[in-house]
Amino acid sequence: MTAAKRYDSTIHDMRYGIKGILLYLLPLPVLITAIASLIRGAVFDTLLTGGAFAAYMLGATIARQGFRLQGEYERKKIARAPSTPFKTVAALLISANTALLDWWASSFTLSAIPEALLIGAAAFLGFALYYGLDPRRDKANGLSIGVTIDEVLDALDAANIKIDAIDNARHKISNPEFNARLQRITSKAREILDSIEDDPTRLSRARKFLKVYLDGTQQVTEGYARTHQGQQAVPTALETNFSRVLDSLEQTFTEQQAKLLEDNQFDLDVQMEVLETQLKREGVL
Amino acid sequence: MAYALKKIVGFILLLVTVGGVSMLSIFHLIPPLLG
Repeated sequence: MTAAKRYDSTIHDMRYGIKGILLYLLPLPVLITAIASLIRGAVFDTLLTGGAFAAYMLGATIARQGFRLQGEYERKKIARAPSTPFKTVAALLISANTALLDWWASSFTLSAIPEALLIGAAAFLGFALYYGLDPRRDKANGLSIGVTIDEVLDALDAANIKIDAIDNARHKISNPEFNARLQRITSKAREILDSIEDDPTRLSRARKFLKVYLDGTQQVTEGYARTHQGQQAVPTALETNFSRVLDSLEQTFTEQQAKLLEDNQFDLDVQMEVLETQLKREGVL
Repeated sequence: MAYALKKIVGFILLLVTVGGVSMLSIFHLIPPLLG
């Protein structure tokens, strides 16, 4: 096992560890009511209050998913608005549940309906003011002319998928040395994506770099992982070959990253050609 | 200032509605329990 830590997106979630706890605590009396109703043998009341408590817990959990997504959205310099409006769904569920519970407490009388609706609306407003609703607009900071937000986000998404694929393949490789090297490569790749997020104009220069590097690494890692799984002993030639390719990838990538940050277009292209040729020679591309 | 006010109003509304109705559900049980 390698001692190095792999990238873990859940570390970021720690910031949101306690957010939304109020939504779990406030409905606790409903649980007491449900238990008391059960003891009394009131089946309908037990089902209704038990269901209401479960709905509150579900609403709180959905809201927390929304908080997490919003946190990621706020952390990134450019990001798409969350596709599912978790916070809005949670607010609707919690407010509808509150209205129903209030109506039940008024013994389902018709005259209590307006009051229940008002309570529900006030709960929705309270949620919206205290937690806010979901971001609806894509976020694009300092995008220059010629690079659209979709272009940048698509490229970043595609790169992230490849990095995840490399990470998945890496987990199937038991060799700690190769594992550590691949981990360094993927963390560098993520740093490159961060630098593109910082300055999206870098995308045009990094496109070829990301494609050749990530495609090459993905293919060679998945290929090695497949061979590694199928056989007990991996041929020494394959080990040596893989080690050499990883050396090249890691070394070239470090240089590429520095060059990319220096905005040196010429050196970047020349070195890419060298890496591409090498990957072809090794049979990776 | 506006942000703090928004948070305070939101918090109070949540407390009164969700918390209040939850407490109300307990009181709703009391008459049958006493009876």
